[in-house]
Amino acid sequence: MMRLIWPRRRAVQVLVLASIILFPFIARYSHYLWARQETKLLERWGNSPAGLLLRGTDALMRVGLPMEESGVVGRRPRKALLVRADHFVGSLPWSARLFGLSLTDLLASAESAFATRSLVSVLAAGAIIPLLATLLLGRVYCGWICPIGLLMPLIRRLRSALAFLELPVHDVRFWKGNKYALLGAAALIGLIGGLPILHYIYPPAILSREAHSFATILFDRAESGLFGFPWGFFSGGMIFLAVVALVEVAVAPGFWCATLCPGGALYSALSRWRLLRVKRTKSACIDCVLCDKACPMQLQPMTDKTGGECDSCGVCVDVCPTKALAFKFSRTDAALMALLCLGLAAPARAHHIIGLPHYAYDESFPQAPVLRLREKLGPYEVILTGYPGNPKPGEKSELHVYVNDPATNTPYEQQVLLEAYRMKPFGFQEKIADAREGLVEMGLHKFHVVYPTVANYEVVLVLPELDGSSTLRFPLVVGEPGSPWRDVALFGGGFLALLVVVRAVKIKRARAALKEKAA
Amino acid sequence: MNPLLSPSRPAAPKSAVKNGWAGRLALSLPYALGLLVLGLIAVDLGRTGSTVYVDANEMARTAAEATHPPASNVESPGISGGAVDPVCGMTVRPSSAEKAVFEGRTFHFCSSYCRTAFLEKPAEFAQAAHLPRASHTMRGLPTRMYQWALVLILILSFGVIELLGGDGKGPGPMSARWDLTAWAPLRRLLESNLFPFIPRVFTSVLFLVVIAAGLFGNQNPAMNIAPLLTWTVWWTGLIFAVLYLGKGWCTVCPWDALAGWAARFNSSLDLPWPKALRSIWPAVGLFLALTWVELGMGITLIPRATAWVALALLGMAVTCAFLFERKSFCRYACLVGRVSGLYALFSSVEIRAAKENCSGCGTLDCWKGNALGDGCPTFEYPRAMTLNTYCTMCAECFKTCPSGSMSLNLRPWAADLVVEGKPRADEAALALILLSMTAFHGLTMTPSWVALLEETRAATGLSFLSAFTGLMAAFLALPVLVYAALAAASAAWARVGFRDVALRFAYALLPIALFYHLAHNAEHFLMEGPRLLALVSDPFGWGWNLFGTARRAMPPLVTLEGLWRIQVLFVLVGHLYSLWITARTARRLAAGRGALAVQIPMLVAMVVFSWASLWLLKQPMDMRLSGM
Repeated sequence: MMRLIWPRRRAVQVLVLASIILFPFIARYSHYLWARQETKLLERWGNSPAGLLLRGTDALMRVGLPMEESGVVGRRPRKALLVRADHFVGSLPWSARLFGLSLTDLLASAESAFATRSLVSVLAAGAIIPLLATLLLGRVYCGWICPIGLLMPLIRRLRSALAFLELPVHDVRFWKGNKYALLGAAALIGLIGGLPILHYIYPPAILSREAHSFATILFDRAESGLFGFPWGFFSGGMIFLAVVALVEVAVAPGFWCATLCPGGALYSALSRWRLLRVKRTKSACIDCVLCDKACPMQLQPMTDKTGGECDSCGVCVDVCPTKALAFKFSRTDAALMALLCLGLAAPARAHHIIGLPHYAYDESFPQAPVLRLREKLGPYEVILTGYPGNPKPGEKSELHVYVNDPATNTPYEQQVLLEAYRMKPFGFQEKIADAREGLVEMGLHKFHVVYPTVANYEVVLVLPELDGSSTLRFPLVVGEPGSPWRDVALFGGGFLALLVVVRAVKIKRARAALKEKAA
Repeated sequence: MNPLLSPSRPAAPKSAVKNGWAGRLALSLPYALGLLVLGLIAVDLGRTGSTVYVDANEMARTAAEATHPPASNVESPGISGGAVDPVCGMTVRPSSAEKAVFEGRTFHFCSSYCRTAFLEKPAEFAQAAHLPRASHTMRGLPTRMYQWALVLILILSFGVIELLGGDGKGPGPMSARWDLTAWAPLRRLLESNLFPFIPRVFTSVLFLVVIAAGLFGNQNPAMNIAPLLTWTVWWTGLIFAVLYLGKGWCTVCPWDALAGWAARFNSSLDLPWPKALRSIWPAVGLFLALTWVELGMGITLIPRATAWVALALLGMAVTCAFLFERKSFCRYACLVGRVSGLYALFSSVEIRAAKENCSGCGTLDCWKGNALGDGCPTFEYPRAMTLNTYCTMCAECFKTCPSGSMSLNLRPWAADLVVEGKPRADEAALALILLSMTAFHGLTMTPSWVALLEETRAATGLSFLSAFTGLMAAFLALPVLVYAALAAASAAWARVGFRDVALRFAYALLPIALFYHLAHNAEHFLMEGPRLLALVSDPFGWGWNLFGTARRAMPPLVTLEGLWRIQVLFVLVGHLYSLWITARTARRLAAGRGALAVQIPMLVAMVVFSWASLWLLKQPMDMRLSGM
């Protein structure tokens, strides 16, 4: 029985993609472990998306760890968990640290070397394994590890849907040299301008960055009591990926990896003298051209001088009916492969050195934001501070008012009253807190307010003893409105879908009528 | 070549029936009433409110300072042009408002009633004048005015009916027409492709701006143009427009315009509208749904929800344009078109064919369409059309008609309501629903409604929305039940079929519904509408000042007393038209004493509904916009 290559390849790719999605959560989880916040947050967040994700990560990290007696989570499991979490750091499959092994993406280290005109030892050390692997095995990163190699073929399946909807599908082939031109240009720009730019368009970098920003925004918002879907994490990079996907589907399938990816260009250039190659048995070839059709790199495996273009994906080997194409899989090759598959994860930490392009590992320890509003009233400066700054409906929040005359630096010592209104549409206001005095401590007036719902509020300060105008109004937002772009996208998308369906129905109808006429 | 310069096809010779003096009177009545209302507004604007001095010494002091009038302390903060009534909290126009001087400060009042309240305990009100207000409640009709109006209605209903209605046979003065398209430039405009294209471009751009404002603008409804322009200006102004322009809104409707252009870009599947839905029940359902979300969910106060409603309607229009032939959506499903369509039976314009000219025509171009224009988009047969209901005044028939038979006529109000048409159950239902829903609309703005809702919630333990839904259903059913009972009485008494009575007289209720609607809307329009001036300069609430008016708060156009006069006038006019149509309908159904028998229970219905209108106007109103 023939042993197919693609199931193994897909398994590796899925594992890598899963790690890209998972690592950001592990990073944030480890942050909470360090801060001893994890159990508290699990309790507070309950079954919100953030709570579920944190709980899932926790469960995953605990696999195989003995719980202490009677389920009390003590010091030792926390330590063990920390050690464990520290084994999975980073973002990119090769820009990560896994079990103490540092790996750096070749493109990233090359670009930062160009941009800084220096070679940083950390980056150079991290690049050793990827460099060796590429020299020996060729573009194996593209074929076996890069998540785009998994996602794009999936997305390209939409081509049949497009054809069903009677939309035009093209098969344009670009020149493979484009990617070298792009890489060279970027190297020049980096060298001259000191500006690393390729990470904006390098798809695996975009994907892992988005994964990290998703985790960051999700948990940051949860810390402020916001649990909705964080639409804000979509960036320009995602739009770029969407455009690439659109071109792949409608215009030029496979164009990105074969003809435009700067990372691919670098790997191709390095893999000219690789050892792992597809061996051809010319005598067995029956000229069925199945391999030509199947090759995702737009090569002709039987006849091409493939140079460094082949990504060793093994599709042609699988598809060949006469075994005219075959990998020679030596034991050393296999061992190297295994090492690479294990070497999944990030000296993203290393990237934080001297402003190199770093792929989004967010090490900052986010704090819940604090609201701080300032206003002049007569000779006084009034500062209103809120804790938390992003108050949650139904929870007690604290407002501190400090009234001070900056000219003489003397605090205002008379009565300060606070009222709170919910702003209702058309200017209606509903009083939610009657005028009252706060607790006064060292010139600081402290008030507690509970905002009942997600809405706009207005906090009114009244200084009755002050001559002339004596009220100040501070606007406050509790909760958040959704993005209006979602509405626009929903409507626009619906409209486009309707347009396409109606057009398809008309074309099919016309074709059926023509057929009937012919028959 | 500019189509406006192209020679007009010769207008068909119209039968030269002269309008008699009664006809001419009927033709000019709408404009007389319009002028009267404008005159009332002008007089009210020009009046100077009287001033009362709380302290007699004050008068002498102020007289000495006459050249330097005391500055008002109660101007709204940050905005110019308005003063706030210290009693009810309404913003008033300082020049025409009633005034009182107390402790050197001048206070302005919405009406003499608020001043009376102020004079009782001036110190208390004066002290509270600067405090922020949660909302304000507007006074309703004063009791005396309400009682007088009621007496007038009773006298009109049961004392004057015999003078009205003629014999119910001949068309009488209602057949008077004035063909505007006898004026060639107008005819050329209607025949050209630039109409209604150019006005539609304007309305569509405006529509998209309003949607953008609703979605992206400041979500404080008082600072966003979308809610005010949609609910206070457009939705209420639409009803005013129907009186004089008929279905003019449909002519320039941006929903249909955008959907039509989209369908032109990617032509329609031209499916026939489903047979089961070939009535206006879909539109009736949409109207109820809109009323429910409008009042129950309070979307009039949420800019983004306002944009959502506009987009949802646009989505429906576009989908229907892509799927169904002609403008099925306009004919069957559009609630705006069907509500204004029913009201347009009353309107003072119409598009009709000169039938004597059409009898020899074999082309059917007005139905089928030709190279010059489409066949009637709303499935009317213009050549035989007798009612305004489904005509969108799109002027396609002007373009297609090979012999220039179509004409745009001025006519007396309610002309279609005396035409012998075939009454339809769906239309009759919509007429009743319009009556109950506009009244319900008014009711929900009164404090008694809030109390009723709270009591219902306390008694049943329902949530706000379920309690609201239940009460809305009850108030929807109440007038329908009252009407059905009286129609049954009328049918039994005069021995006529119940269905015949119920369906025919439902149309006679339209003027009452329409004019109550107008009286209610006059309040929004005149009292809240002027705020549009400030919003036009800053439509998104982003702090723009495009025309330099952003910081100007326009006070209401009229004083409360002026508003009350206009409202009572509207209710009386509506009642009069309803009476008159009732009389004619009754005489068509039965002769002699039978007509009286069929009429009397219906008169009772009219009086009950007009009384309800007056009662609603008497209630104080929570205003949408205040305190800003």
